[in-house]
Amino acid sequence: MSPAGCSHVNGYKVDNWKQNLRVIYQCFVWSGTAETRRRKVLQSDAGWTELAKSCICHMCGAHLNRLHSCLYCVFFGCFTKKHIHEHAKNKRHNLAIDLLYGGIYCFVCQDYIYDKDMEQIAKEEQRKAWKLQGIGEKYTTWEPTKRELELLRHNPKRRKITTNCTIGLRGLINLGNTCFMNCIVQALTHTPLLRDFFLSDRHKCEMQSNSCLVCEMSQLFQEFYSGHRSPHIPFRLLHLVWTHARHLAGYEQQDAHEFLIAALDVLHRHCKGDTIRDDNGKKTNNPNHCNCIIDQIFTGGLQSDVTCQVCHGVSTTIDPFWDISLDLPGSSTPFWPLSPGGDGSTVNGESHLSGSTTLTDCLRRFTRPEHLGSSAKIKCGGCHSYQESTKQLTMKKLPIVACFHLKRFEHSAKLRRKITTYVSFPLELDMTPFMASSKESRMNGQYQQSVEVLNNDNKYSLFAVVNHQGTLESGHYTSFIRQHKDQWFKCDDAIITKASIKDVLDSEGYLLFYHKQFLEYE
Amino acid sequence: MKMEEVSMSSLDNSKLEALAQDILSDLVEDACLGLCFEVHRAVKQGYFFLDDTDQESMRDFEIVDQPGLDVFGQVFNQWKNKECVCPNCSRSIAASRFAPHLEKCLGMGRNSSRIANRRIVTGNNTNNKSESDQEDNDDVNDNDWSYGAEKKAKKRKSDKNPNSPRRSKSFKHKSSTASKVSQDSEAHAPPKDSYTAPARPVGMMGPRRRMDNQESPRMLMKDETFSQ
Repeated sequence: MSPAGCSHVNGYKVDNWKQNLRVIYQCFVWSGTAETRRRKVLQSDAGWTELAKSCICHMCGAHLNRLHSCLYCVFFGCFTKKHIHEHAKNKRHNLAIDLLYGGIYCFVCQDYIYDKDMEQIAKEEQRKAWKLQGIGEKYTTWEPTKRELELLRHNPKRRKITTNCTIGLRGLINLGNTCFMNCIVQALTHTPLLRDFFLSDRHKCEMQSNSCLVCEMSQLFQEFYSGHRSPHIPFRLLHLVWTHARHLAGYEQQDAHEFLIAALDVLHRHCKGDTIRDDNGKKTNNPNHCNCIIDQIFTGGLQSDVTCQVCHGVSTTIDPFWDISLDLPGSSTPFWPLSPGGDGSTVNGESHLSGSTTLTDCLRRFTRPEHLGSSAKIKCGGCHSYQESTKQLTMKKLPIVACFHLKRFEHSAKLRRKITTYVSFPLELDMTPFMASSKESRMNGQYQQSVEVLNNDNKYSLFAVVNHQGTLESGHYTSFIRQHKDQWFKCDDAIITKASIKDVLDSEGYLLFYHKQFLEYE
Repeated sequence: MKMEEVSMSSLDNSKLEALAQDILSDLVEDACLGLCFEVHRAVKQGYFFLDDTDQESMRDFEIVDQPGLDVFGQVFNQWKNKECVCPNCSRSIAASRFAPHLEKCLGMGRNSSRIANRRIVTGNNTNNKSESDQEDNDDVNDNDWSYGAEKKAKKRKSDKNPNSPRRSKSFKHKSSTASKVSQDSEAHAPPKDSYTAPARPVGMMGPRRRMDNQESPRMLMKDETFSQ
């Protein structure tokens, strides 16, 4: 019996009480189907049994006034006029249920009580009803267990993370040109889903030694939320990453983007303990269906369609990705026009539009149909011969966190330089035009505005920006991260300062991290 | 209030408005009732107090937004003397020089194998001193060289000519041809006591890219593709 329950329910919990209770919830509280909803409201149906009359007070006929149903017999009475109270007294039926919210009222205690078993049934029936109504799973707030309550009571000095709180922010010492790593750490520790995963202790380590990078990541979050003001020294992290990603080691040559991919890769490999188990309780060992937190958050699907120019047969492949690398104007490969024979001017590679290149322009270019040319003929399955073709990339599945990498460092055979072209990027981004599903409307290279205002699935919000200042040979990485709704902070190794949205949007941009705005349960 | 069937057509605007008003107030009342139940349950189950926070310590964590100070109200650049313990050799290293230390400690740097070569050669040339004495002296004199890496270098001695250029695995992945050329010239030069700086500035942040295109093999799991 829970502390909020009462002993008077024991008289009720006999025989087939569970099933009876379920029927009451199904028919009168959380009506799942249209039929039960109708019966809840209307007068008695001719074809219905005598088991229950319609949902009105048996004494005054009211259908509102906090109607309650007796748990022992078929009686509905309103609470406001105390009709249900009268019934309880007369018949000594001391339990009733509120038909609006499903709470159980005990007339002996004269209060609503919360019995564990009965609440369990209530929750199950509510879930069933939501499913029938097509709502699916709903978010429920966290409730502490008895043990957790005890612990919390013993520790009354609690801090809540409000919008004006520094908890969650921490500087990072530069270990010798490790600013590239510090920026990625800042971006990862401010990825909301990742933060929630680690702070709720979801990682179960299966590695024997102390070399699990996921454990170190978990430790990192503890450090960031510890309330310590001195910067953290991420030496263990550096050691672990260099141990597990040997191709990165050696401290002169480091690129933040490369570090991000290597770190995600090691984290993904070390997440084995957290993979989802299938129905038989066995782990799904299939690497193609890894469901670790890294995959859940960062993995998207990139669709590549190659269309034969002769028979118009399409060959499609879908590859997983963790980031999208975007070409920029000013590199040795021409940026404009975006589509073959399209509406872009090619004078000096400048945009025909007034103003600067936008992230959207880069994405349009990325997803444009590209003629592969006569020197790159593809063997067509339909024509059974080598034919010219066009290739087009679109997003098949968007990750929860989308990372855009602006290719600012050119490493072609002749040129090695940094491209400093300003690319403007938005705070909010709608990826709908770049989805595989939107592709049909753009087959001709027409870039129409999508009219789907109500589709929230593809809306993203910027939450981290990594910037590089300097040249190819020498430079420094800093980052901007977002904490709470619209507060931005600049992270320059050990120095964390408040930044304005303008600072963020005016910055050059090298890695842009966007987070899906609306998350649904699967 | 009893339920009655009312035909919508029989109602004029004011009656409709009154009805709408009724419905709205019913909905508002129901919503308020829901909130009451939530609070009631929280109090009864004992978790209502969770919202209480310690006001004083909350004030300590307020964001500071003043020039010259970080968000914690601290002055910039006061963290010069931070130290950490190397997980590989367990020595205490200054935090800002941990990365170059670790590189040598793990035997991964461009210079690590060269320094190892030099030591082995000078170690072989001295006949009077015992090997262990030689090692001790080296340890005292050289701050960056760790005992662990020395051992590693010694192990490899047996399979290769001590004068030949030795490369650790990471060298294979370096893309810049310029760096390879300078390595070759260094390895063939006679061992010196002082180490000359390489052609490109070491210790500067250089974002060198190895994988430049989208199709880099991070996690490629291609479905059945057409043959190219």
